[in-house]
Amino acid sequence: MVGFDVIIVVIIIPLCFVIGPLAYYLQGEKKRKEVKDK
Amino acid sequence: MNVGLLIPLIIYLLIMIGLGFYANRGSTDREGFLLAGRGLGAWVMSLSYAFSGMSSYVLVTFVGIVVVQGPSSFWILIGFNVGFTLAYLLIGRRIRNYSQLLGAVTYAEYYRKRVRQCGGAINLIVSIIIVLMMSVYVASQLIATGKTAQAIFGIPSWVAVLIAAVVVLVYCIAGGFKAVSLTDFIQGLLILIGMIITACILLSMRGGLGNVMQENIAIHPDWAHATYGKAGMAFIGTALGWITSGLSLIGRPHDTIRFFAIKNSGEIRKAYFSNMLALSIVYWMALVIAMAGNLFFPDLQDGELLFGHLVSTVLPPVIGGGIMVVFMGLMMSTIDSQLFSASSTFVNDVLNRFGKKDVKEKSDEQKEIRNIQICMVVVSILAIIIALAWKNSPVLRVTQYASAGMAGVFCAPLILSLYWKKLTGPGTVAGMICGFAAAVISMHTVYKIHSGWPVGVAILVGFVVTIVVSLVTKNPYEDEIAKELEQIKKEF
Repeated sequence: MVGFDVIIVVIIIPLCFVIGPLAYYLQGEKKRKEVKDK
Repeated sequence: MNVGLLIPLIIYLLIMIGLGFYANRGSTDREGFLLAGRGLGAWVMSLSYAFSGMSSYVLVTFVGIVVVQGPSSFWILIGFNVGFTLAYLLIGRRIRNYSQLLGAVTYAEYYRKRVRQCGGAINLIVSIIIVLMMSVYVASQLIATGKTAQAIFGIPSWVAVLIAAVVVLVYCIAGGFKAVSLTDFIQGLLILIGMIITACILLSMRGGLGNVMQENIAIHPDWAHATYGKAGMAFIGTALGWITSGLSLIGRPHDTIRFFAIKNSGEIRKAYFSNMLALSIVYWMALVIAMAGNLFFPDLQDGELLFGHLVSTVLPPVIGGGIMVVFMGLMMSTIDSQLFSASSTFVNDVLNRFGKKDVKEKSDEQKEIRNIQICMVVVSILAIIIALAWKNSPVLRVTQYASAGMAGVFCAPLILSLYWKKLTGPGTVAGMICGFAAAVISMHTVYKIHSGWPVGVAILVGFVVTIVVSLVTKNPYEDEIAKELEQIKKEF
């Protein structure tokens, strides 16, 4: 049986490092749009 | 010799050479040749950055580590995640803006123009380290190529080393930095597709992911956990060692130069996301390939040869040839960047600088480009000699040597140069020298505890020495630099 620590290290943490940058990128796009509109 | 394996590989090598000549069209002037005219889009920049950093490490070294350590080896990816995140968030936007503000096109030129003191010494240290470490790095990639080609085709490793070096050399010479980035981008896409296909094939051959995990755990019970079979401080020390190892991504010249070349600083966020996505996919697939592959060769002595054995005996020849292309892509995408970085630095910052020659006219630019091309040939020969001399060394050890050396020299002064107006020339020089010395010493001491620790020690020493020496010396351009540091914060 695979331990929960394997799930955290192999799936959850790397996924956070994908979702985090995605959120950062989308926030940047919003910011860029605001600057453009001004 | 298996022709089925060779055909996709030959086609691939010819396409790479073709791309080099295609890129030649926009690379006739200095900034065009050295920085692709500062016009790289986010996707090209990020994939070329990600894959120039990943190298054959993924399919040779990382796979070899998984064979020994199982899922615990994913702490390596966490280390890279941390390293890339810090690189994008701490230095990406600022160095893009600052390099343009200063009109710097190479790494040494950036340091020289930013610090404005001890220019000759900074130039000399940066240039020597880049040329030496890059040659070692290129050599480590060539060793990996030789090992794998020997396992797959049964040809002597020196033949594979020579072929790989010549192809990279041809497209770098023809197309400059644009060719390096473009080929890295294409190689990156091929790597992503190829690794997903291979992982799926191997999983279907071994009855799916659940079965692969169960069979591996039956052989190695400690693979049920991601703790290296250790507990307490022993586990924390090992995991931290790998995370520290990822910090070597910050400030490596052949990677960081891509920030100089991105179209504008607003693209950094998109590049960061695509970089992290590609990185995670590749490492997930490499883990699956290693774990499924391990079941085919449970008694393999050298885990670094697993990938070669999978390609030559398990996968169908056409798929195997395609995967060999992926491997060549990983290796070449690293070599080209390092070769280019070493050559452009040597010519721009050693030959021109010590020859007291400024590049002012078109004919000077052409001459400089020609000198860089000649230098690429020289660095390649140096790397081939090192690769053949060290052909039996573990790739990890050779790579870690170069990583620790470069982290010690560049990480601290680079970060401080982007945030701290009090950074001085003597501080930079002292930090670089002590950081490098710490890297060399720790490669022979703390390396025995964990291969990642030399990077951490070198960076720490670099920071401490740079800050202390800067505080006891003075930079007369502090006010001017303070204004520049305000300007480079701008994102859109």
